[in-house]
Amino acid sequence: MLFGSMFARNPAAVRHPDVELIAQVIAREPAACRAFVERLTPVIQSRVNAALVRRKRGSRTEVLDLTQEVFRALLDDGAKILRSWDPERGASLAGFVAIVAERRVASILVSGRKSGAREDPQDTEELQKSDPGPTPEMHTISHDLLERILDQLRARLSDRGYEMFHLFFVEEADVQTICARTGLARDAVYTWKARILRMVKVIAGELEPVEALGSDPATSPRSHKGGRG
Amino acid sequence: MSDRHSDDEGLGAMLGKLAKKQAEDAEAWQNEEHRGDRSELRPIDDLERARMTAALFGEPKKARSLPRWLPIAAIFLLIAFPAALLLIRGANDGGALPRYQLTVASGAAMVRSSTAADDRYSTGSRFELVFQPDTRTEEVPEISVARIDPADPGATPHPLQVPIEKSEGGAFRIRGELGRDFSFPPGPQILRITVGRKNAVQQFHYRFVVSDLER
Repeated sequence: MLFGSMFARNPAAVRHPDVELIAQVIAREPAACRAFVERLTPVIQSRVNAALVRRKRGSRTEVLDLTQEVFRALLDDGAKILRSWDPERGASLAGFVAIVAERRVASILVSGRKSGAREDPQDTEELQKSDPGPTPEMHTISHDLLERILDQLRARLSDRGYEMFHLFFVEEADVQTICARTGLARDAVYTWKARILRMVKVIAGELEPVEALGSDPATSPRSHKGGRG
Repeated sequence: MSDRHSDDEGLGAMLGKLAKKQAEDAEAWQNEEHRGDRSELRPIDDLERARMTAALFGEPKKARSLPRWLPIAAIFLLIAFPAALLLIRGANDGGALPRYQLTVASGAAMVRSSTAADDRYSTGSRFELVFQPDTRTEEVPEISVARIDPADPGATPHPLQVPIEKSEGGAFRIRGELGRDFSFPPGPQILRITVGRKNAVQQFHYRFVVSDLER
């Protein structure tokens, strides 16, 4: 639906080599499976390493486990996520997998959820909630808080939601480009943007009081609401 | 209203910049100089990758058009040679359960001894056994795990509660960390894993050794 599948489209045309690779992986062709793991391991591991370093942790077992978990997420449910990759939308397979890895690793580290467990992305539900309140003043946001907001955002957004975040705010693509790359109508694209920004505000509102609690009261730039401390 | 809107956008833009920077940093972690003394972040090597591939996909499939009687004959042969390290006793009575294959996919913490055939583990070792059906099945198999006393293999096996993860298609894995998710006394061990129902069970016996040395 949202994620178009290359496999159903124009079967007579010559398929992109990576689409062919994915088809062979789904068919469990041994050479393709090995090539797939060999090719994508560095991309996934780089995201795993970076996420572990940011959290000041990381044993060899964790590196291996998390890398394997990302592969498993890509392959779960008949390789649903992998099949959603479409070279015509602009991202390379490695780029697409990197985005999935960023979100999945954050999700596992934040929530402990692994592939196979039920994903429970909240990005469709957050919109229904009441106004989360004002956006924190940007000059008061520390780098650490920003990192934690981003972690939470990755953990709470669906794969689709994080892809939209990437298009809007990392690639800074314009709406027309996003429409072309996702196949969504303009209204739907704007709805996604509003949904993501709303979730950011909700997360910032949740984390900000914690941030203020952990900082020096004398230098803390903002007071915090609530009765914690 | 428009100020709030631009604040929201500004925060989104800050997060986008941070995500971009993190992606660039992530690429740098593949670089040895950047890693410094954090050897645990070294690139996953061939052996580790082979284990991961086996855990994800199982062993490569053999010829697809094997005669149907061949697996049964193989099972009888295995029964006739109980000295085999992994004894697979298939009592599949033609039910819907496909034939399972066991792959030992434990991670880098597992040590393969050069002098003994058995896998060796110690406290903190990652323990992972992957069971892959030769054909996909929608049926969720019943799984039970028991420890057999190697000093008295005839005694009643002791049932064990172990972490089992099931995935779509019928595959499942037993995975955890020794000392945290599993606890075995030091010395040789035999795990009996039973897959399937009463009249259609397959049993696997996995032999390994637990070292009492802390890593």
